[in-house]
Amino acid sequence: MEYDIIGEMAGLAAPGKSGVKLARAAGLLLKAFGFDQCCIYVYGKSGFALKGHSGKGARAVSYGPSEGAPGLGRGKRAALELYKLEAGEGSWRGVEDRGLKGFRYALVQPLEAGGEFHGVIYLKSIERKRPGAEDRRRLRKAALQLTLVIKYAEIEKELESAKEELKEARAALKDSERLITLGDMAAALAHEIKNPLISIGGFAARLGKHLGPDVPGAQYLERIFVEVARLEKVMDGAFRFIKDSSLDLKPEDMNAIAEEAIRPFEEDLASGGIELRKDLHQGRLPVLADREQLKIAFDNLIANAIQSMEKGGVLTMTTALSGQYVLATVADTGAGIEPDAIDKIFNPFFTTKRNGTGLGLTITRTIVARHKGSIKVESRAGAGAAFIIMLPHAAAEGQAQRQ
Amino acid sequence: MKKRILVVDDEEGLRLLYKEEFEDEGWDVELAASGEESLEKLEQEPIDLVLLDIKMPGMDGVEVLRRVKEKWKDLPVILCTAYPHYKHDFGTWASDAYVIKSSDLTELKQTVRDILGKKQ
Ligand SMILES: Nc1ncnc2c1ncn2[C@@H]1O[C@H](COP(=O)(O)OP(=O)(O)O)[C@@H](O)[C@H]1O
Ligand SMILES: [Mg+2]
Repeated sequence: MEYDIIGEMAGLAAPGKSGVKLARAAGLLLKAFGFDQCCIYVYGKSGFALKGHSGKGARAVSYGPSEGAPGLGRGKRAALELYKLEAGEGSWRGVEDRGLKGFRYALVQPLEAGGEFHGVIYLKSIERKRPGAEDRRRLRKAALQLTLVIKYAEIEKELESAKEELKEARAALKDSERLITLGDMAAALAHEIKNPLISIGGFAARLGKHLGPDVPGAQYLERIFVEVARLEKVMDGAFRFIKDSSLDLKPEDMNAIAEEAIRPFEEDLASGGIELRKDLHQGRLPVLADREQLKIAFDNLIANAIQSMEKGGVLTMTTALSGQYVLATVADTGAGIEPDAIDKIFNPFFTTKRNGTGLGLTITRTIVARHKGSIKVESRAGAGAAFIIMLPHAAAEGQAQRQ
Repeated sequence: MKKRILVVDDEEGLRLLYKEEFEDEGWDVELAASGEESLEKLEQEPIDLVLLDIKMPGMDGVEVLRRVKEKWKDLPVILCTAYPHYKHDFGTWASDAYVIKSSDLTELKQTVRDILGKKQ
């Protein structure tokens, strides 16, 4: 039965590495037509590149666009037959091709489809031979199939590089986004536009003050001042996507805030071998508070307590009512505070920790003060520390206001 | 004796404006155009209050604030910025007041009066 070279070639069109496919194609062609060497050259910008070969002594010879037997086959549609009449070093009748050394017969089959030249199949034989018309027809058909394989591979490669380019373009876009965020823009605008605006408006106001309201043109200065103020307002408004940090006071329950503040730390406490005790006042403890900010105040105290108990211990969270004040205490059984440090711990940037910021207690005290409260510390070196937050009892404050 | 304010801002127009306005208010005013210069001035003469811009080339206001509070922990510092975002910057919590810059200086003047008046 005849070997189905055309079907085999068509099978190569499936996705895969084109180099591997062409080497395989060369092997198949060799087998199908009984030659000694088969090379497949793909034609490109720099001439013919050997993309697959099989059989005796096949070497990676490449050819320029008009070089050797492949060069003769370029642009042709029909196969080109080359042969020597006598064995040995005899003449190839003007064809110069070092790839022909040792052979007596060669067939150059162009790989062509739709008038487009893609390369050649280069078959060589040691013995003199002449393929019949049927073989040549089959070779032509196999070549057509192979051309499609090559075209497919080229398209795939283009697609691949387009994908790559797209990926690079995307990455570049992301980079540029990172370089100029909205925040950076706003900051730059603020500095470059708002500062000069303030100068303009500020000096216009000063000039107005110097000249007094009765001087002709005073209304122009007023106009400048008003317009500048409007521009500033527009700019501030644009920046306000970042929420203002002024206090948002609402009636809250100190117990609930304390509970909420400790919750995110529960895992840390357990893994640090720290027992959590809660001793909360029974019933609501009404305070006027900005819940989020007060939680930050607690966060800092709890974090400090945990950091002071490296070897474990007990953290006690207490809330209580004391006269007109609501108290909340965060106490630990950790290292405590040295007597000479205790006066400094609320100072900004005071820290005894290697990676400390020294701002935790500063922030806590600021927040508490903004709630019209106060904070106290009790500690002995080696015997733990207790931080007590005192806030006005909301109901009590209401009474005080009514009096 | 008059209380003395040190104004630290890299913007020349603003330094001039603040100087004139605060002198009108009855304060002595010293000027520094950079963080580095402000620290030199603080070493050289008695200052009662620092008006500090945050965004400056070189040493920025937050760093100046850190150094000031390290050395003169009771010296009040007012942070000023054109950009409200800084209000959330960790370091700004350590200042005594925080004012967003505006051509209307009423709030800033009041803040200065509150702080310097309190200290008398
Ligand atoms: N619960 C505590 N036990 C022992 N020392 C503490 C405790 N809380 C605060 N301190 C001391 O106060 C310093 C300042 O605390 P803080 O302002 O929170 O800044 P930081 O935690 O970054 O050091 C700490 O470095 C530590 O020396
Ligand atoms: Mg801390």
